[in-house]
Amino acid sequence: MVLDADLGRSTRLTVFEERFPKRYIQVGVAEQNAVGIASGLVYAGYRPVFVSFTMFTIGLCWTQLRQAAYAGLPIKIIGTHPGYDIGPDGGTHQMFEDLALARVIPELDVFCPSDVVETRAALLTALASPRLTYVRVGRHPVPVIHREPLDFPIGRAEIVLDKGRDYVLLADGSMVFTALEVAEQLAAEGQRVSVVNVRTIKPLDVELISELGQQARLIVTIENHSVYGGLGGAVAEVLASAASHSALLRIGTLDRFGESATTEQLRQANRLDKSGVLEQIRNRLL
Amino acid sequence: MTLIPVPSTGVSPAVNGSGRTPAHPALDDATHRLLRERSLRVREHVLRTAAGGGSFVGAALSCVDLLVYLYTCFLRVDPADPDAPDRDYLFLSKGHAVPALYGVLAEIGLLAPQRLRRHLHTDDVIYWHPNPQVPGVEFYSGSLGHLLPVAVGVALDCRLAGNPNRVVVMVGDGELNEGSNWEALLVAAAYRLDNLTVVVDRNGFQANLPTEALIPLEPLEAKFRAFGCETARVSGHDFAALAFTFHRLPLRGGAPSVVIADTVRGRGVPSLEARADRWFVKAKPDEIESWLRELRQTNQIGER
Repeated sequence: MVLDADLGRSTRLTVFEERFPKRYIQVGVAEQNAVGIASGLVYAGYRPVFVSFTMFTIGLCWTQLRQAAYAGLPIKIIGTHPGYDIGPDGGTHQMFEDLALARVIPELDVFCPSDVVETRAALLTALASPRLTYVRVGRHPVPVIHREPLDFPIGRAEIVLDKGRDYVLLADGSMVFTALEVAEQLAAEGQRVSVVNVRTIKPLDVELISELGQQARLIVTIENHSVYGGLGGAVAEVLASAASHSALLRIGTLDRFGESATTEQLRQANRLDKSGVLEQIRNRLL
Repeated sequence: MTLIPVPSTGVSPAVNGSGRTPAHPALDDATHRLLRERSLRVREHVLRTAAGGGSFVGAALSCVDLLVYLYTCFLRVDPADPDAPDRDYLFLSKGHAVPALYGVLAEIGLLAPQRLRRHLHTDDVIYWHPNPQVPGVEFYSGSLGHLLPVAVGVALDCRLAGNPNRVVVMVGDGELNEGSNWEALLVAAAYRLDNLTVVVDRNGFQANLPTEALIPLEPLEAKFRAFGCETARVSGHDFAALAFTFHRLPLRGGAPSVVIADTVRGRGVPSLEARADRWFVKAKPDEIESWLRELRQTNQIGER
């Protein structure tokens, strides 16, 4: 069963509604209600999926989600239009805190697929999982970097570029492509650099990140999210557990709200596009 | 631009809940003409925001007449001192309709009209959703169901402080799906907040479907009454009817007032009216010019 809170046109749930009208439930502009109803649908044996903007899922329904996780319900949340992906809607709609908010809820998994092929794999894995799962889906168009068929192993990050381990770029979602662009440039300049797609923010691939933390001179996290509590925060927690470890540069949004402009303008202004990320890394090259 | 003084909306009745304001004066011809002229100009402003990145034109056009009426005849807001502590408050909860508010603020002299040409520019704050950095905008909105509770808080604050400010919050009909509105009304009724008026822009649509086809809201008056409010239902495009209704506020002493204003999405441009697919509109300059011509043809001032 799929639940919509009157954003079907934006999330493309209208396509699902047309094909599977009997498995589509419209609850109106009432997101907390949607999660409550989804919790109830589990009792009839369904695996409900609630789809809305990142802000209106994790942001608006946090206590309902926490309760569903506490009850061990296999609800699936698909959060779309994360961070700057929602562009002109501005500060009220731009969500940079969802990974932090979702990650702290016990027994809840967080997936961040990086392209359309991986999104499909992530959704299939999420649907098969007995746990409450949040899948963060980008709106900003990115090239396809994966090939079908693709596995989406929970808790395992993916090394998507391996040209040495001096500099390791860890990215999630739509920022994986940006990280690849940046790494290709650095590699062309003679740097030994790798890119890791942290496709599941939770559970995190602690083993790989710990290992990289002993190899790299600098680890860089790149995310369309606040540098507090998301990918950068999670990686910092892992690195700091070792007595000595790589230096860490966290790239993302800082301690301020978004503003209204196109996604491209916002990524550029906040140094999250290729040249902005490159500049931030260059300032820290060792 | 000056506000039309409205002598009958005295301060004390709303505050102590002890009585109604006197019978309203008829809307005189000059005021009626001013309202229509302003509405026409505000609609022109709204249509122009469809250029570039677009805006929520349909949702804005439905509440133009309401906002023009409120800012011209009802709200005590001084364009020379928009932050005056004794001002009345207007909260736009259906934040995506903000082009209508920008247009009104421009017409009453709070917002330089040339700033409207900077809609969505990165070097200004004329956004898709309200930003209080714009003079006259009271609060952020855009995430639906958020400002009725805020308005209840402000009304409660005014009540506790013994201040005469009146609080008006405009909500969309679709956003009444959000439970937060009804939680707020329970509190408003419990505290007998008759300094609070909820205006429902009842244009019959939410996002891309008619409200009654999605999550039916009717009978809406009965719902508000059951929550302890007093209601009036009025055409949101009829200034004389609006004057009659707003001069009666509070509709009942000791109760929050709810004015359900029946409106038309896209009102003023027949080819945009009452269309499910004209909530958000992005248009090319020649398309906008054609709507502007249509608007002027169908809204000629001087006949009614």
